[in-house]
Amino acid sequence: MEHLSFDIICRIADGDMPQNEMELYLVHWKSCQSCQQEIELQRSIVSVSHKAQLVNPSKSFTQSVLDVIIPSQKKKWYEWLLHNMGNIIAMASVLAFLGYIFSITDTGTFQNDKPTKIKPVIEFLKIIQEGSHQLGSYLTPKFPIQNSDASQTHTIVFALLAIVVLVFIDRIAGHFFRQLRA
Amino acid sequence: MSDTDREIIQRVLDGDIRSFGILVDKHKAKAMTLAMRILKNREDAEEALQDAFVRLYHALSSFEWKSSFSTWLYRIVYNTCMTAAGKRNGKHHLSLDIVDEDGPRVEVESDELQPDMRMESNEFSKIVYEEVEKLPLAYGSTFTLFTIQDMSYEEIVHVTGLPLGTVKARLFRARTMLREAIVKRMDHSLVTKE
Repeated sequence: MEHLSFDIICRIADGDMPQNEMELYLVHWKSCQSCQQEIELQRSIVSVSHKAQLVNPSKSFTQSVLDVIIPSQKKKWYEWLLHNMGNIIAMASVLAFLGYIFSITDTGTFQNDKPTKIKPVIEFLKIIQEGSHQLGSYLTPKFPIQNSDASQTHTIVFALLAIVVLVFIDRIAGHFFRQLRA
Repeated sequence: MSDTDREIIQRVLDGDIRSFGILVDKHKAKAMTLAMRILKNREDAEEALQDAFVRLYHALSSFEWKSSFSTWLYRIVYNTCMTAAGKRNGKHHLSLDIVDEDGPRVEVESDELQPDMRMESNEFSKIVYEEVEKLPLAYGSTFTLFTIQDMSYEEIVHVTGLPLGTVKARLFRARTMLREAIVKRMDHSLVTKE
């Protein structure tokens, strides 16, 4: 016995077949258990898929769409603060770092009479200072800056390192606060 | 009674931009389901969906009500997600793993169905959900429009921009693949229960 084709089974299951065409297959359909089961299977698959649980976006989704389409809406001061927290922390960290460096350096070396509590910090800063000195000494003959001495070159190298640190902290803090906001 | 799409859109066009949020809330779950079926990743889907709603907002005044609003919305969501999927794959044209695009010519393997296959069981539903998730992008997205969005072939043609024959072929292929996978798994579960 030749069964109904899969295309016909799907069309019968979907109710997507005119009555006159349906009558052509009716005799076989009513007498063949296998085809009846196939039709039932297709109906069930569509029915189950229709009831499939919908996926909801995050709770803040609608607000985030509105934030994009209403850009002129003035943000509250704390929202602005939270939004820019990454930059603020990065700037403050680098400024504090630079301020500290300049407060403890005199003639290019660290003073040794600082309290012992901050000794590890001083050791760390010494390494950085030593590194920037060495990098400066290496770069000075390769990229000579007119009318500048070695200490100026060291300052430039130090400033470049500070910018790298600034960008790094900004990325990390920005990511952290974005997660917090979400 | 909740407002119709037409009433909400009219309010947005009259300047009440916040009403657009009502429209987003009304359609976001079904649109997100379609986006997830195409992009298979929550973060990407949400980003593409946000982009789609922003595009929809900017095009709202040009909508002429020649088709239903939801069909137009899904067309934007579908196109945005397909573009995102293309960019993610680093290709302009997706490899869709399609064998038959010209018409429904795929033969079904004639595995006989088990007479005691339980199509109402939770296990059956679970298998169907899992196998729909596994469908390749082209078939999965067409099948989703057909079932979850409850669209006719003509509406799917309007959303995807594909010819009717291609839509029918993809849907046919999706159902063939689902049938084969489901029967195989149900047979296996019946055997293991015995």
